[in-house]
Amino acid sequence: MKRIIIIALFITSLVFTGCTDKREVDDLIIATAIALDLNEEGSLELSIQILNVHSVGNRPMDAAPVVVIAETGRTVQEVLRKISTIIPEKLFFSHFVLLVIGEELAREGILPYVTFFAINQDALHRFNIAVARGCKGKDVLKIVSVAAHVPSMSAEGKLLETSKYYGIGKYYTNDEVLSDIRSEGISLSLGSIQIIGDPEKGSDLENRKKTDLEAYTKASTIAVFKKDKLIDWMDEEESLGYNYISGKIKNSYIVVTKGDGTFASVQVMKVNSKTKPILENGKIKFKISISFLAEITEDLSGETSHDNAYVRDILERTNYEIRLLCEKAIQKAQTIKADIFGFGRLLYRKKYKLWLEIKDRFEEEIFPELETEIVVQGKITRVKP
Amino acid sequence: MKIPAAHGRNFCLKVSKLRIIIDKVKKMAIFKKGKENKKQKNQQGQKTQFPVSNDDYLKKELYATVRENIDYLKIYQGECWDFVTVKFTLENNHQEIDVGLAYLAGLVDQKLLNKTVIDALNRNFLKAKKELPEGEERFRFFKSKVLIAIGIDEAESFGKLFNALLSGDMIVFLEGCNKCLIVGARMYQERAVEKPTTQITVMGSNDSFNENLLTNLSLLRKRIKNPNLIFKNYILGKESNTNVVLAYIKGLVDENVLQEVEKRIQKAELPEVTDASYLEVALREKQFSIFPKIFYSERPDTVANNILEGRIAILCDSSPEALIAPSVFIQFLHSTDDFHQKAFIASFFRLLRTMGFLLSLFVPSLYILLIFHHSELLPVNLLFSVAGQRIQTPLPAYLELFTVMVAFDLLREAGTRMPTAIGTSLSFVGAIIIGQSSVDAGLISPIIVIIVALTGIGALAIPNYKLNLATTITKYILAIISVAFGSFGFTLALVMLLVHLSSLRSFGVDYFAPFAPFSKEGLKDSLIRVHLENLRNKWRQKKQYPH
Repeated sequence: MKRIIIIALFITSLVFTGCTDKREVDDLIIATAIALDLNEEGSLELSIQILNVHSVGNRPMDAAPVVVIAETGRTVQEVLRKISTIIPEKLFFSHFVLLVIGEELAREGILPYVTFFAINQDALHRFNIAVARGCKGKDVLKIVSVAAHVPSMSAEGKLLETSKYYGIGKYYTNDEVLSDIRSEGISLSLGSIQIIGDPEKGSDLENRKKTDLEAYTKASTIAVFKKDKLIDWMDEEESLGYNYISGKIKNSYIVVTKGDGTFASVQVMKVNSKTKPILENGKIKFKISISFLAEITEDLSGETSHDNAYVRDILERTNYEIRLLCEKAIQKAQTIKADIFGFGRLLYRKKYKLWLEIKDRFEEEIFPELETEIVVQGKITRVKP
Repeated sequence: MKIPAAHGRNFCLKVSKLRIIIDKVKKMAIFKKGKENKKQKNQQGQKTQFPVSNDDYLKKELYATVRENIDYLKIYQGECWDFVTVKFTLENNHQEIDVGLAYLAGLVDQKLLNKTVIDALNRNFLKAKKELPEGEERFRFFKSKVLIAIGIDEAESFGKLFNALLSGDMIVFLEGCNKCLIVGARMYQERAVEKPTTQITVMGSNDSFNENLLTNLSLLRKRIKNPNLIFKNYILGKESNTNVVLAYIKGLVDENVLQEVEKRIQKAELPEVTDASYLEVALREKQFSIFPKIFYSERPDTVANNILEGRIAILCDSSPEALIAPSVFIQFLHSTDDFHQKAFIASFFRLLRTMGFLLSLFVPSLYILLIFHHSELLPVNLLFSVAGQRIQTPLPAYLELFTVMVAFDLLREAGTRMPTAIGTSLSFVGAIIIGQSSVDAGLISPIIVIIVALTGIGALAIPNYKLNLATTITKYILAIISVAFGSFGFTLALVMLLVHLSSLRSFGVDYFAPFAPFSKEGLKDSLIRVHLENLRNKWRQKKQYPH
């Protein structure tokens, strides 16, 4: 009898782990992206980009790859429940890759929403967060993409590529965003997406059939936050500088002006950046050392040369250009009093006692006056013909 | 803020906890009680024996007269059409002696009979110089002077007589002797030594065993010219009286295993042994398992290799397969071809084959796990593609999987016993109708065809037919568990499968060696194979398996 009970317990424990709450792939309604906006009345508008499953697979229909559904409400949860009146099944959040926040909402604060998606939904914590620059997030979701089938995948790809191989954008996932907002000594900065053209025409599938696109999305420069509120935008050079300092660039280029006024391009690779706090006469100073490998790929004066003096000249000019970019970025951050480089966090880690003393006035008083020393030291590995 | 832990970690914890619980439960007394009860039942069961046909002849001594002897034979074989008895009288200057011949027409070499035996009897009997008295002296004379140079033996009981007679020997009765002469005149109709059919290799020797035991032994002798090579004969099967031969090399063989094999063969109470697979049932450990416990081969080179490695080959008359004792699991994934290639190449293809085995086991259940229970684990693009395919088909994923799996295995089963001419059209029907059309009609999704095809190809890469069949069944079991119990159940089933494999033994040797128990030396000829010179001698010294 005892034996039967034990076996029965085993079996029941097995049964209760499996089939309950199972959802098969074709029952899922896959959310691919979410946008959060403030509408005209000032209440929350949440748009969900849903994969049109019939448009993928082995015999795709000629239909839009995604559908965008929008609802308004007071809280995210409320809107999500409202959306269940439009769609037949519960939404599947595990695979949404992009959370777009409208500029208006970003200026109001994003913390509650980011937190909501971190703790409430079954999302994997690798979705990317970006700000819709100068437009509504909903419009970004609506634009039909060309290269990738699903627009959100395309947008995500753009963010990743620009941050790695050009250096103006930023690819930042949910976890990183939360940790930046919540931890002391750093201000949040996010990548952004811009719409070029008319969003209404961009949402039409016909847009895809043209060689000259009516509208498309574009990864744009970095948005600077204070706490969780958007305060300002960086321009391209400042964004580049930011990415050099934070070491996010893998591969980029620098255009240098040579002595005779012509341009030359240098491909910059393997950027390595280190920031170190230094205490000098009771004053804090940050030393930023950037090293990289470079190739001279192009010279508009007509020919490149393997001459030592020529290479050294270009290298020095490259170093100078990069230092200039970094200085611009720091200057910008100092004028808007947002420590997006995480200098405060560095102090917290390296000089904790000092940080405890100054942390309350660091961002407002010390950071704008902060002295930085930027050392850029590259190596030219190759001169292309 | 609390972020929920990843799924994977939870599973690991659960599983490890459960393993501990299982161990504890195993140790608990309630399970032991049950086992004891079973044992008692078994002992009672053994007392009842299977019915046996008339076996009085085993103890019967021969009569002194030819007539009586032949009459006794006729009690048993009198109704048989192929049973021939001849009575005639030999005479010379001194005396006349009645002689009787008995043989089975189909098994005896008629030429030998006419030319040699009858001739020798007539001619040599004339040379007798005096009258031969009844009894021992007459018998000696016939054995040493008359029927010389013909494979000759004598029998005093009908047991031995029948054994010889039914094996195709000719019996010569002499009047006045309570013994008979056995003349070796066997001639079996046998299949030629042909190419192997189930264990095909690209290189190496291309002969295989046939149904004649002596031919099979000669094929082994040809490969191992060693005076220590022993062929030990046993007669098994109360009704069929089949010759079973143990082949091994004295000195190389593991004595413990040899004793174990001999003990089991002597203990085996079998009504009939018509094929080596009947032996397999009697010889293996009394452990339930889907997996084949005794390795077999129809290739003389494989068997010779195994004998040289210190194993025992068990050959059975009228069976083209030799059993190998002891066997380990990894042997079933080896091919003779491995020994024809360089170590590096052989290792690669062994790994590939192992991958095929694992694919055929796990692909359907992993597919169902991902599609059914854990869609969040699929990469984004794959999810989109799978969802797009699945949305257009009517069946739920698990039904679709089982339908196509059954269809595939049905096709394979049908093809196995098909005449070659029909086989082609069968594969045509399979590929076109089942595959292409059902995808086109939207009945099944293309991905399921890929999954099942992957499983099928993986299974076909397994070089051993019996393991192939076992894998097929295990595949279904795992898939059903995955559907019903999710990834937790699947992990548990995996653990149980490993525990099961590790618990098996083959003639006292651990079946899952060299993985459990782990041996570094054994790994050199498991999933990979190092150079031959580095292998064999060490193992022979250590008597360690697999070797």
